[in-house]
Amino acid sequence: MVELEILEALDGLQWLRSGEEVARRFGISQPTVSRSCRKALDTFELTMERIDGEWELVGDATFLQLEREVHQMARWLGHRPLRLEATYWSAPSLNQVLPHDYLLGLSNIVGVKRNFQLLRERIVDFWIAGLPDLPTDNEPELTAVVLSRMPVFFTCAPDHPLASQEQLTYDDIAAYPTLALRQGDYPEVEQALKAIGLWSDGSRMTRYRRDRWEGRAESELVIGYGTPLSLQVAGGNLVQLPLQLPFESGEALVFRKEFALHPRVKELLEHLSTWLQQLATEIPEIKVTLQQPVSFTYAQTE
Amino acid sequence: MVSIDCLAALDYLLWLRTGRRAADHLGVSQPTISRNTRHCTELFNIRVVKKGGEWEVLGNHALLDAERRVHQRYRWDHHAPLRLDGHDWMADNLQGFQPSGWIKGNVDYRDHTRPLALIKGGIIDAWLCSDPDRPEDPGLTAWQLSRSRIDLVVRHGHPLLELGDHLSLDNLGHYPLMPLPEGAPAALEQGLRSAGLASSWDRAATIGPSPRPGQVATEDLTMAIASPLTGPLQASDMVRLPISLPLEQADLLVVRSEFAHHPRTASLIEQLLAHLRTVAAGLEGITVFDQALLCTPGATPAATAAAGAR
Repeated sequence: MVELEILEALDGLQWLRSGEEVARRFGISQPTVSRSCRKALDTFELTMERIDGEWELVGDATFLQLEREVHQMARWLGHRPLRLEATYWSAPSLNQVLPHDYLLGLSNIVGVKRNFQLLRERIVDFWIAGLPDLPTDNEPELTAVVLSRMPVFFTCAPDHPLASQEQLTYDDIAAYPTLALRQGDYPEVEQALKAIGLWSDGSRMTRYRRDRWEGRAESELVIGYGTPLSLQVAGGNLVQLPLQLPFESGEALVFRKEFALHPRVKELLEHLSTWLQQLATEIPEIKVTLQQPVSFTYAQTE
Repeated sequence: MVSIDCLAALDYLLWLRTGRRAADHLGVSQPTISRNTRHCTELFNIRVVKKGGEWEVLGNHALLDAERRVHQRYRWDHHAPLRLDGHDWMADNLQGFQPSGWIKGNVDYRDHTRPLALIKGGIIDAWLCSDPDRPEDPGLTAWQLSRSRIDLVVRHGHPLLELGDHLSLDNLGHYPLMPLPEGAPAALEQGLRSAGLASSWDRAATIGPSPRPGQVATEDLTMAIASPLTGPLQASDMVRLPISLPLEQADLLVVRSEFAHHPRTASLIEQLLAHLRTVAAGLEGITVFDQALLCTPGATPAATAAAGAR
């Protein structure tokens, strides 16, 4: 019902939030973004509202969703790049190896909900998610392939009282405020940390900002969490404490089940495997679970 | 991926066969049809070629088909004109019938392959045909509008007419039956054969040699099939044989199953029934139903018709 570039503007705003980013990622001018977006909204008889910083559609989006399905099919057929969202710690190195027919988003979305929504609504084709929070039975349309694993440990500022301790228990950590996000952002992480009395000091953040995460651990004596990869990307002068969290993190590729057997999934998995093998040589704590040549089963998360 | 108007240009061309008819029915110019068609073929990376009088889409048209489904749903739900066509049998009956909200096509199909492809692909929205020729496709739903007798008609002076009341089914096998249209009512033909008609007849044999002087031309001896509503009887010098065949036919409206209970299907059915009642007024051997009957997949037309009679 609308041209690819028209819906791109609307989807782009939902995904990347600002006209500036849409213009940059899709190679069009900002006036074109807003003109195209308006045309898409008019065609589908919708309006758009900013709620909590995210653009939400108002109205009956039935036909928009039907049309998105066609446009997604067009992307998978190669008419346009496939859209990929990642974690803030994976995006910088991933961006260097990603083939040109993939478009990487800002990779700063906090919480699984928005990412699942973008996949469900066919705005984004892939999400490189951080373990352990993967699609559950509540997301029957989505599936995941686990790519790698890595430990998660506690972090703090160098002058924090715990920084000098050689041995730590969860009780030691629980004596201090610990970073937390909004309820439900990462259900698995939240549950695991609450079980040991952590996850107490909430940060209201819908898109990742270093000053509100690693920055707070640095400046406010709050205990944070990190992985070898996140510390490399955004750790600054945070100290890694000698205690690991009771779960592992790592990367997983999340996408709609209907594409499970699509050649482009296989192709992307091969790229991701190469990328992670490379990372693993630099950071030995990263264990690549997806070996090359790619021969995996989708049963991993089912 | 394309505007409603743009895809409509391609679809009207595929449906109505000529750019001129597409332009007329859409109320745009022929250059617009051809420009929009070209845009579609380039965007969807397909080619359209004319084969045997009909346009055929070449290349991988999965994306085009997907987009078309969205447009079809949109026009059903947004009061945009819908597309109706029918079998050649219906042409006379449908003359002057212009249902509101619908655009009527050429109504000149002699076979079912093409119109079935059009309706399954969502290029047209509704298809009128007759049982026993109902499409057995789970994606399609048929509504039965009427039932009628099937007649045999012959020219005036045909030897069978001389038999009068003594005419029986056994007498019929000796005379050729006008071939049914190519590809048309296979089930009808089968029904005629199982009724003992044309048992020793095949299509090729009906085209006999030219008559020598003093002989009767084969065509003068040929019987033809008609219904109380179809053209041959009304328009020609032919007359109905006074015999009843163990066969019935029914007028059916076929739509894609997702639209079977759409209010716009109901509205079309209502308009069709009203029209058929007018056409059938005063005619014997035809019953136009008060309400259309949903045909159950797999059920025989006779069973459906019997249900209608109840």
